[in-house]
Amino acid sequence: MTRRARAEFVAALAFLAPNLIGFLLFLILPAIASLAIALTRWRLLDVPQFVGLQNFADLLRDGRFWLTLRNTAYYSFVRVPINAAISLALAVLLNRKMIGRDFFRVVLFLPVVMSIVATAVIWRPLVESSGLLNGVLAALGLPGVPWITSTNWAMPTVIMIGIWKEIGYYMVIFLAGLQAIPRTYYEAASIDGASNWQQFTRITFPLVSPTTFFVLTVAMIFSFQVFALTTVLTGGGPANATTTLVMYIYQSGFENFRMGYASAMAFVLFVIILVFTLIQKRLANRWVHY
Amino acid sequence: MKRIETRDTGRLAVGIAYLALGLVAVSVLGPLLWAVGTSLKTYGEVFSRGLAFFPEVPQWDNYVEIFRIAPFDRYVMNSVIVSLFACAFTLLTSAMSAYAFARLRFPGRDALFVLYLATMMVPQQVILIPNFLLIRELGLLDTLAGLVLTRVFVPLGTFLLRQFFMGIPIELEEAAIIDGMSYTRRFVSVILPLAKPALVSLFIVSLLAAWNDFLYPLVFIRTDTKRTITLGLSILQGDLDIRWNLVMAATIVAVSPLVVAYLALQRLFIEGIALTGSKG
Amino acid sequence: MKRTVCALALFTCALALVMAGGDAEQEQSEGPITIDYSFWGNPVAIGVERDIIDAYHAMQDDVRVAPIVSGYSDYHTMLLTQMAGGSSPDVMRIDSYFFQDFLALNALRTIDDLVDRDNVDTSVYYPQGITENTSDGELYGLPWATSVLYMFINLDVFEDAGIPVPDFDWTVDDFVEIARQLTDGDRYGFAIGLGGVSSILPFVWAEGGDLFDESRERFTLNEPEAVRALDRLAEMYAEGLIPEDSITAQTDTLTRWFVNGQIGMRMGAVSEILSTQAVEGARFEVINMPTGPAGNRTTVYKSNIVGIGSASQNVEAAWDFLKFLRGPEGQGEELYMIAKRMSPAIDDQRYWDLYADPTLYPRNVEGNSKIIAAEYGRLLPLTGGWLEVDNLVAPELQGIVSGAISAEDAMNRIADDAQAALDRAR
Repeated sequence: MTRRARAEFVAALAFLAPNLIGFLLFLILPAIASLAIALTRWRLLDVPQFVGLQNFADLLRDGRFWLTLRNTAYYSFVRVPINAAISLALAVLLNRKMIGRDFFRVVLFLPVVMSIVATAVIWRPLVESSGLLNGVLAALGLPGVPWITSTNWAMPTVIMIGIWKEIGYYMVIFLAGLQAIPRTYYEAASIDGASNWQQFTRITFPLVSPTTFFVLTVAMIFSFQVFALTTVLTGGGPANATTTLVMYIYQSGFENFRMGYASAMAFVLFVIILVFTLIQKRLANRWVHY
Repeated sequence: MKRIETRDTGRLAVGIAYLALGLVAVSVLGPLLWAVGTSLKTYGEVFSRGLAFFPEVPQWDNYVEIFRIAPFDRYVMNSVIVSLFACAFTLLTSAMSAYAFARLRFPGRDALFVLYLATMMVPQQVILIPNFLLIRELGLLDTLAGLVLTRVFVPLGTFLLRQFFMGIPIELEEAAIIDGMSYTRRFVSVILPLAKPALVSLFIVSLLAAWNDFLYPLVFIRTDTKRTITLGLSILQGDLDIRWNLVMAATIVAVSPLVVAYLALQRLFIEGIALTGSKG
Repeated sequence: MKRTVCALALFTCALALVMAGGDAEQEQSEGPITIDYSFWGNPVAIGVERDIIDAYHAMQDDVRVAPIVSGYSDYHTMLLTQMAGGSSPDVMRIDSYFFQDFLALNALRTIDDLVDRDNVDTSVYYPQGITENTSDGELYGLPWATSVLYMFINLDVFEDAGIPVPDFDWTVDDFVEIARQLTDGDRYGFAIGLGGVSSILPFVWAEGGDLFDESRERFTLNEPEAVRALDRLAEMYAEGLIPEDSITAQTDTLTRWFVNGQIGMRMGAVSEILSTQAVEGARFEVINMPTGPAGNRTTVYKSNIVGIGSASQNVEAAWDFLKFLRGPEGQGEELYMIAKRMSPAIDDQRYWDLYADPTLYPRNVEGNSKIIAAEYGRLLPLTGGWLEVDNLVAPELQGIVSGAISAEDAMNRIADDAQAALDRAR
């Protein structure tokens, strides 16, 4: 190591330390503990028994595990791109000078600060078969929709409400990303006669791409862990159509008294998201501009 | 930009933009209005006129009642304390580690970063018991400090800021290097000012996370006066006879500090424009 | 570099400051013993508990009670986490769904020795409550909220349709017929939530089926009697006697429909009497669930448990408080009754007089409850692994009534998993 490299290493260590220490203590340590628990049969109040990979073998044969994994993937892969697109569009709109900009920025952010329970409670009467939403559809001459009572519609409804709640969240992050794009670029483009759309595709989209990458990654990670929204809104129903993996993990751990099994599922979830994130990261090199 | 907006296509675009924004705003405000209406209903009305947007007679007393039945002012205060401390520490420590990840070379950097990313994927539910043991060992059960500590080191902050730091042109820092600035000076006087929008959004993101945290407060806190607002809200729904009018009133009380914080931070965004705009 | 070090030091100091804000664990020395008492509830329910604790504190100076509370939905998670982490409360309330699992894990201490020593008369409780607190012949707690899951009857809807309130010996056939007569346009005869197996067991019992066999060791919901009952419910949905929305409806949604006259009948617990009474002008009665060819005992009868943690270091103090809270001589039951949040667990007219208010609907709650308890009530076949089985069955019920799968296929496909859950919990 050269002197310079060593100095840089020491500096890096100093910069990392405050976060790293807590990170190791409060996240890595418990995560390792949970991985160890995944190798045991543990009913929470007894002494864990080592069972090797038995829990993982059981997982492969557990239809509910695959079903809830499928539901979770459905939720995430549909929800995240739509959510990101809407949030980006709104952020771009609200990044320009316009009348009522602050009003819209605040309004769109309101659902973000609502608790998930409140969100679900607000939406429950709206999506009832005689609720407001079907009333609006009827006024438009459209047939009603069995929002959360049909296995086909329940997940799209949950996704819709999930998006409703979080568009403002990612919009704020996009807005922050848009701030970093120098105004001068747009001014130059305007002078060259570029249209709004051209400005978006040639300046905004490439330059905001680090933010887009961040939003996609984080939204995906959060979506894979969806729990409270489905628990309160549908309880996982009808017929498990909206039971998510983390709901099943929670049930297994705290209701079925199978913490080892729950931890094994969490580990599989962890690996899936990790692989997915790494792929996303690899792909990101092609479209994210630093 | 201005020139384009004066053209017809520009006007059409603006019209469409307002239409879209208006639609989204209505779909957001509609349900929220119902929530406000519910918060002003009587307990009986919640059931007898459940779908109605507004009460027959607004029960402003509901907003007084929630403070009578539980110390909601105290709960809000606790949430403010926990969230602010958690945010401050998150911002500080995350910015530092993000700088290391974004700008400094050290062995194992990429592997460590992947580890940071990876832990975001561990569901809280399975590390709850290990964390409970940890907090107990530290003697921090039933303290707000315990809640702060388990909130600060979320890798999200490091990830978000690293992403933004990497977007800051390296040239800006090179001038500082030539000037012989130390890493600390570069971090404080070059990177941080440029990252203001990112810091603000991280502040909002981590404020929300800390504010809405539920599982840790649930198992760490036992004294009533140390409860956070999310716990207080869940206790309002603690039995089968839930007074939804009060739940909604309490929810609205609970979110108002966040709305105020957001309004205040909004300004910083606009300041951010001027800042980055001039340097870019 | 120096600045970095400074920043680090500053950070550490700040951290230490925040930590110092927390109280250190309180050590017991002289003075009163503090015991932990955990329960669930909302502010009203917590208020009742607080009154009881205050009354207890006023009575003696040796024991102080520290409450540990959460809402019901997260209560057992909180309790389990704290116990797994080595912090078991001294006195704890447990929902009977969890009772056998807690026992299998030695979470509770038997109170037989204490009951014998202090000559506590357990015969004053409704016997079902004692049964629910007993396992392998040993008593593990005193009953809390021994009550039934009623059929709620909306009197306005019934009068409107010209139907009298059913007799106690009404059958499932009568029930279906009444539901049919009540159904009219936007009005439905009946609704239940399908989030758990307790809501459908009355119908299964009426046909002679059950969730488990006599020994509670074998899953039997896939046997013909049970399947017949489930098919019958599915037919009611198909015929439009039960609203489709009820497939995923929560209990407060049912209350809203019920008080608005959108449904004529629903199943509900004692605490739902409270929410229904909250609506001005709501006229309703509570009766038993319909009987069937297999017998009259078709109404779910349930009791929760208040016991002493096996890890308690203060058994005597805990027992003293438990006696006050739930014992025949204690003041607890009286204070609970004054709050009218649940019906008496102790068979004593004094408590019924406090609880039942004949000026309020349901007017016959006392008389009906007593008759149901004596002749129509039936305990759930609770056993270890109950919740896991429940988690398996509930989604299938939703599939069955929506017509997605036949009752037989649905129950057969989960039978092995349900059996495995039972075997595992033993």
